[in-house]
Order: sequence, then structure tokens, then C-alpha cells
Amino acid sequence: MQANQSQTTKAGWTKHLIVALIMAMIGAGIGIQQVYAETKSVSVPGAGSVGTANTGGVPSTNTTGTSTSTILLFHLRAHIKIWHTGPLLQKQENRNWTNSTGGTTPAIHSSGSGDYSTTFHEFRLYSPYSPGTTYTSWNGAYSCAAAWNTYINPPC
Amino acid sequence: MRQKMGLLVVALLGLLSGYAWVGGLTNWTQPAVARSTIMPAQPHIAYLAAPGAPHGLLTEATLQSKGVSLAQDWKAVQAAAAEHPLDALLLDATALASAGDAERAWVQAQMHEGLVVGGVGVDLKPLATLVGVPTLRDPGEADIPLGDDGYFLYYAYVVGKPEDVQQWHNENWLARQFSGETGVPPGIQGYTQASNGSSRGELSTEQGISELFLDLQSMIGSTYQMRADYVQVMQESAGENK
Repeated sequence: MQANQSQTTKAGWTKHLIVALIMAMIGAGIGIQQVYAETKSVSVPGAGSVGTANTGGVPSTNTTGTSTSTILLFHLRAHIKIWHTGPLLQKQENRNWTNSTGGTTPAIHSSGSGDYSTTFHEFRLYSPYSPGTTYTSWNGAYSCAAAWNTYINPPC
Repeated sequence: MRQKMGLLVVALLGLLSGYAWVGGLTNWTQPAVARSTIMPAQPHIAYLAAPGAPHGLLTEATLQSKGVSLAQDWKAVQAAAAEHPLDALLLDATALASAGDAERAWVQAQMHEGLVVGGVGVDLKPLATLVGVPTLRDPGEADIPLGDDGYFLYYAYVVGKPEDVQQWHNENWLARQFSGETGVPPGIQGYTQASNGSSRGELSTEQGISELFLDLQSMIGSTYQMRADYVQVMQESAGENK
């Protein structure tokens, strides 16, 4: 009788442990996904630091490029690409804003193994001024011209 | 004699206005159908292709189940677009080959209104010609054909004042950015949003079919959102100027 009770308690604890472990893994997964975004401050000639560049999300679900400023700029651009081995450009979204504070590209996704997303950002204060440019990527490892221009492996 | 001529002129004018009144006017002017800022639950997507030629799992039954209307010639597509704004046009190699100058001009004019164009099992070169760009291949990309089961979607859309929109279209600025150039066209005065996007995939799996329609929804949704953003910016600007 006592042995049975002990077994029931043990099974109960095991259940709790499994549930706790699964929840911990889900939590870790969410945590990892939250980490998968890169944000950089951007400076433009003539105005200093004016805004932020970001690549957010995960390529296998949804990823976006963002170029936003704290002041009205003549031109902002976010051009996000998902590269696949080949090299093959699986998807891309290129968005420009003029006389604006910018925004975010539509989300794109790709389920291929090793696919990554990199965004090229342009920020321009006035028409004749040279732009502030930068690259960001979904996990920070592909934030360079080489990774945006074609598929690379290993990362930057 | 003079009175008879007058009566004839009046009769002719009456006849013409009566014809126009019952809908004949649309046949003469083919007005652009105004586009909404709110995406409909069922976007208007047409598939122009030779009948009974599936590409992977993309069959006529699949297309119809997704609400896509099937067309077999350009006239049918154009008539459907005149009746209700076309959000996306998918076409196969046969339809692509049948496009002449008039069809290309029509497609490009529709793209300026927000049309998404997709090729199914096509070569990218003639698709690029149809949408009016030198190439649809990124400079850093290998020359990998789509294949019979492949699809390629493309859109290029600009919102803003007409003169600013025209600046973006002049010299294909968006296509130039796809080819690696930076900067914006000279002479832009006001608020604009200019966007282009592309997507390619395979139709040989259920996931591939699902991706095609997700991509279409995303691109179509993007053009509606751009229109809504523009209207909002203009309203805010009008409010500030009061």
C-alpha cells in the first residue's frame, strides 16, 4: 500500500519535472528568438546620430528591415534580402521613404537551411549630402556588404 | 433642309449620350479603376495560362480553391481588371510569350497602380521584359533557372505626388537599386514611399504552394499599406496647415 503511494508520488513529481523542463525549453526558445535582432545607431553627415537601423525576426518565420529617424530626413531606405546557398536570392524587400522618419519593410521569410537575412540601410539628411549607411542582420553575424551582396559561408 | 440637319445632329447627340449613359463610355475611355487603401479579404488574382498545364502541385483546382480566376487570353484579363482592380497577375511561359508591346505597356501601367506580377515556370529574361526592368537577377546571384515548377513574384510601386512618383519611374530607379545602386532620383519634393520586392520558390510541395500565396498576400498587402500610409501622411499634413 505504502509502496503504491510512493510510486504515485514519484510519478507525480516526474510529471511536474517533465512539464517544467518543457516550459523551460519553450522559454529558452522565446529568449533565443528575442535575441535574434540587431539594432545600430546611424549617423549622417551634417547631423550626427539621427536614427536606428534594425533587422528583426527570424528568416524561417518572419524577418524585417527597419530604418527610422528621430528627425525628418530627406531619404531613408531599408533593403532586406534573404540569401540561400547557390548563391540564390530567395526573397527581398526594398523600401524607400522621402521627407519622412522612415519605417519598416514588409516581412519576408524562407525555410531553407542556412538562409540568413541582411539589411542595407541608407539615411540622407538633404538631397546633395552623402548618406549614412550600415548593414544589420537577423543574428548580427551577417552584417556586412559581402553578406548582403551574395550568399556567404562562413559569416562576415 | 437646315431644320432637318439640326434634327439629325440632335438625334446623333442623343444617341451617343444614351450609349454612354448605359455604360458605353467605359469602352471609349477605359478609366483607371480607383484603388482602395483597405485590402479586401479576397484579393483579385488572375492566372493567365494554357489550360490544363499544372506546375508542380499548382493545378487549376488549387488555384480556384484559393479564389484565383483563370483566364486564357489577355483580353479576358484586361476586361476583368477594368471591372475590378487587379491585385496580382500570375502567368505561365505560353502567356508570357504571347505578350506584345501593348500587353507589356498595359502590365507596366497596372504595376504603377500596385499590380504584383508572377511568372510560373518561366524564364526570368522575358519576365523582366514584361515588367520593364533590365534584369530580375541580383548581381550576386548565380544564373539558376526557375524550372517548370518554380515561381517568381515581383512588384514595384510608388506613392506620392504625381510629379514625385514620375521621378521614381524615370530611369527605373527602383530597378537600379535592385542592381546595387544607392541614392534617390533627383528632384523629389515631397513625401514618397517607393518599394520593390521579389520572391522565388518551388511549387512541388504543399509548403511551396502555401508560400506562394503567403508571398502574394504579403506583396499585395504591402501596396495597400503604402496607399494607406500616404493618405494618412497627407491628412496629417493638411491638419497641420489648417
